[in-house]
Amino acid sequence: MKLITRSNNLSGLKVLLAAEHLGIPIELEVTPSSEKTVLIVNEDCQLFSSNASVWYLFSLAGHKKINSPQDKWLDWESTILQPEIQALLTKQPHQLVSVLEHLEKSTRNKFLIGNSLSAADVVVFSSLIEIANGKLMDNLPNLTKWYKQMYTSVQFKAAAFKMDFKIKETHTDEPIEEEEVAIGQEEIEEAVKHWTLGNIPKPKSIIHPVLPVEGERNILITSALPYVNNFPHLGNIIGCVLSADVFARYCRLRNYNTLYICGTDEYGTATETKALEEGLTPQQICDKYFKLHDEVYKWFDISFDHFGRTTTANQTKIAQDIFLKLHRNNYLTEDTMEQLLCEHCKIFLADRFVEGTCPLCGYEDARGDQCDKCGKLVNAVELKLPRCKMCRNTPVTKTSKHLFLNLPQIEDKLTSWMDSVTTGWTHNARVIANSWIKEGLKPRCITRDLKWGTPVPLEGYTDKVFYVWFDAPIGYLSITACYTEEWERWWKNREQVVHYEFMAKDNVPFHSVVFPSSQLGTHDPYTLVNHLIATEYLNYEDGKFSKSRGVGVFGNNAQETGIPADVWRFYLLYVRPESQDSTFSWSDLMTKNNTELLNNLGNFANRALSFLEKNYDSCVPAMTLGQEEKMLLVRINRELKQYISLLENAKLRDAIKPIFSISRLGNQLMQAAQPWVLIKSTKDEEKMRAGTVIGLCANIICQLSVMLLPYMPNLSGKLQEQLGVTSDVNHLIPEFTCRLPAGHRIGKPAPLFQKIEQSLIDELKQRFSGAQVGSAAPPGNPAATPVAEEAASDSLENLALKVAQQGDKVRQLKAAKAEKSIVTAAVAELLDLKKRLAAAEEATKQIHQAPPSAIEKPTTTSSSNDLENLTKQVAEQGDKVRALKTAKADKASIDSAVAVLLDLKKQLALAEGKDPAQANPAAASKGKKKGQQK
Amino acid sequence: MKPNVKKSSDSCEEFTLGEEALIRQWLEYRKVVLDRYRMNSQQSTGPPLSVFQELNSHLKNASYLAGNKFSKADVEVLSGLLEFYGPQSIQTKEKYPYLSRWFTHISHLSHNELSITIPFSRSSLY
Repeated sequence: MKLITRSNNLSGLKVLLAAEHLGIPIELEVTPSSEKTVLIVNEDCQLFSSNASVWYLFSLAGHKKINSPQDKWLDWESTILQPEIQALLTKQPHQLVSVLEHLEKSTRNKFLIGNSLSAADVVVFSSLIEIANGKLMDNLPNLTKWYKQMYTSVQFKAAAFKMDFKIKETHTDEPIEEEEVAIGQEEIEEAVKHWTLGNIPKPKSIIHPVLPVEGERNILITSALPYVNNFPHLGNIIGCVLSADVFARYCRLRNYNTLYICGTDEYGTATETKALEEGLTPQQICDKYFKLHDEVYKWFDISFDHFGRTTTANQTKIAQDIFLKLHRNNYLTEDTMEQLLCEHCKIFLADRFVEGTCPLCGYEDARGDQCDKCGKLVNAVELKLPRCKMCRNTPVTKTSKHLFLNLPQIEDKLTSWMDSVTTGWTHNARVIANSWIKEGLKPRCITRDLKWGTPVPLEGYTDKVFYVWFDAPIGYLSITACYTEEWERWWKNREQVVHYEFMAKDNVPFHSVVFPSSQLGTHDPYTLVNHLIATEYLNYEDGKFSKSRGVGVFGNNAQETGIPADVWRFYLLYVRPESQDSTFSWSDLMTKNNTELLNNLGNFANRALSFLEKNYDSCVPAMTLGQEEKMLLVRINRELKQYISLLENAKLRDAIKPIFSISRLGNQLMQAAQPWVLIKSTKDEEKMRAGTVIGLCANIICQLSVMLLPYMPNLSGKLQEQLGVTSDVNHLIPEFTCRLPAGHRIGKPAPLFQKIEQSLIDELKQRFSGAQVGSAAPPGNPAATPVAEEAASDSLENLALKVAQQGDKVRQLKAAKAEKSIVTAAVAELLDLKKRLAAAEEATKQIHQAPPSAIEKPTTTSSSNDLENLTKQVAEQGDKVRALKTAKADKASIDSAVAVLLDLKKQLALAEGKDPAQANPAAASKGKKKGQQK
Repeated sequence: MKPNVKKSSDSCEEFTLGEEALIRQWLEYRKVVLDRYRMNSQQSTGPPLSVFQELNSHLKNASYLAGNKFSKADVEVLSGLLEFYGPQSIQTKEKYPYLSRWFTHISHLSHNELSITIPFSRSSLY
């Protein structure tokens, strides 16, 4: 017998594990080329199903062939467990939790069936390997025990060894606590020495413009420029601006010369489209959205040194300069492209401005980039009967000349540069960049027949503009130029400046290949990216954020939730998709706020400081460190060093852990020493110890306030106010030092965090799920953002009325000379109402402007199609079941046919708009999936 | 012409252990692979062509799916495939000659149960 498989293949492992358990010798061939695992029994019997193979081996070894519990398990594994695991791994909605709970009930005994190992154990165990590292099994003690026993068996070890099986790492929030390394005497002395160290350097005062200084660390930070035509969503915020902000704040804490540059990317087709939609000029659109972006980032407390925009004279100057140098150095080539020209509107039509008949399926309202009916990608020039979306006239096909950046010619320079820097890039950035290079670079078109862009300064091309992807990264340079005339000291200074770029992974190709190629092609000594820090994607609850469908929380909504900006920042960083996609979840946000922030950090700070205020008259008592406290210094130093080393590598999410570990150490100290008991003691040394403990705690809180600053700047400030220290403490050194000596007077302690209640979370979940709820009814207008939907729920008239009423109230209060705080509150409410009214007006405008034909028609037809289809299928399946029953077919086939029938019925109920949750939770989730796909 | 085949597919006596394993494999294939496309059939257009391709290559040198006998495996896979493969055009079916040959053959064999015939021509019309 021979087993052919790949090295990390679970199916192969499954079969081999069975053979190990049964002592059946199998010839093993591990080859990377085998697509499927195959067990070759003989020429006529080659099994590609691992479950059938396992069954075969067990039967061969004399186990019962007909064994219905075993068959049930094998069946369950292949039809339920596997699909759910695949759903989890591919980030689809899944019910793995309830599936595992079912398994928990069956693993009370040592084996799944009876008192001995069966094929069921082997098969189910092998499937679980892939998810065992996650936290899914944590609360299931029986399952964990059963799994461990299988995992630690000699047979598994032998099978894994033979196959060179490596367990894939699945994401875990909290890895298993490492055992503490023993604390040596030397380390203690070192820690005590630093603790007593006086005169700690102060933070540099920041004088704008910040410029690099020779011989110092100069850090240039950019965040991918957000596109101007819409609100940024939470995924955008964590991927770019917020991540870069944390890093910038950290660099400033370390006294590096730090420049953080960002701005809005304003040129391009999308802006023109949006302008047409809203009936404004592109410039007006940019002005409007620039302001909105700016407000959102201000609310999130993003510490840009300069937040600029790409529509400036500097942009034109620098982009044209780079372009002309590329041209002079012969890196540009000329070619022609076919495009549609609308002679009526006198513009070349971008793909999304064209409609016509789909060349593939004949659908009449296909868009220029994609057909809504067949879903295929369409080339605008291939549309039959094309028409201009704006004037409905037929455009003509024109060939127009374009310029291409000849990437293959720059490739040598590019790859030798990349080899020298990519070790400092995130894994995904490296992989994406390398795959681009591997596929072979092609010339890329850098000009477009548009009006809204940087003009091309070359004879014969003056009516064209630069393609936004050539143009946008140059924005980093031009925005810096708007910040300081000496911008070249940052941007043409490869030796002294270290450049970090933050972005989501979709931006990697342009920042790793296209932009550096343009820079290299100039032969100027431009500063190139040293550290390309790319995140994966952040999903929203069970789906994706979608600008076009308005799913999820957008930057401006965060403010409306009443949850403080710092909590938002903290949570987004906590779920930062650092090494793989992660999910924003309201319940998780609540949990993290209530446990980590409130119970751990907030509780510790408040308890210690209140105690200090009450018992020591707000003055830090004298501290005499005992052995215990000295050990604590060492532990804090270790966490602190960990924090610094993680942040130096821009591991922003991981660096949160040491902060809370220190807070936990502080809590443990309070809990173990019980200063509230010691202080009442009659013995002097016990009283002394109470003072030492509380003084040390105050210093730990001070240290935490510094470490928290990159994450929660506002909270850090509040905490420092309560500690009675100035921002002078905000210089981070790798050792824990005494910042609050005996006699230091602290400020007034106050609670730092508010509990988030379940009711609020339920309400918010509801509020932002609008378009996401799956139903057969036509989904909401895709153009409507969540703001629009929320505002629309309050009708326009209603809001206008409320504004009027609140206005009256304010006037009355003012006339009655009411207390200032009451008036302020009333005014705030009035302003809020006015804002909502404005948003609602905006929303109605948008809804009316969106072309109705494109949205409503396909959905209604498809949903009625669904209904017909389903009704038909239910009837057919019903017939089949009856036929099977009459034919006295075997039970298994009847059962499976009945299952199909039930499932169809559920789907039908769903399509008819009946409450799917009542029918069956599984059916409900299926319906949701369907809704999303539409 | 009726091939000399036992029709009763439920009894396992005349199958070797290897053949039984093969039968199990195909029953699983029906449930895990084919039925998945059926569940979603209002959205998907049936299984991807790679499924046809896969079955075609399995049937290249075999008349039946499990061993050299007609079995439950053939009936189950056929009925799982019926609604997808039946309506395929003749051109498509010509691309998978072994699968089509098996398809016609098995539908004839099991016509009592399933009573369908699938038109399939060997001569190239196109």
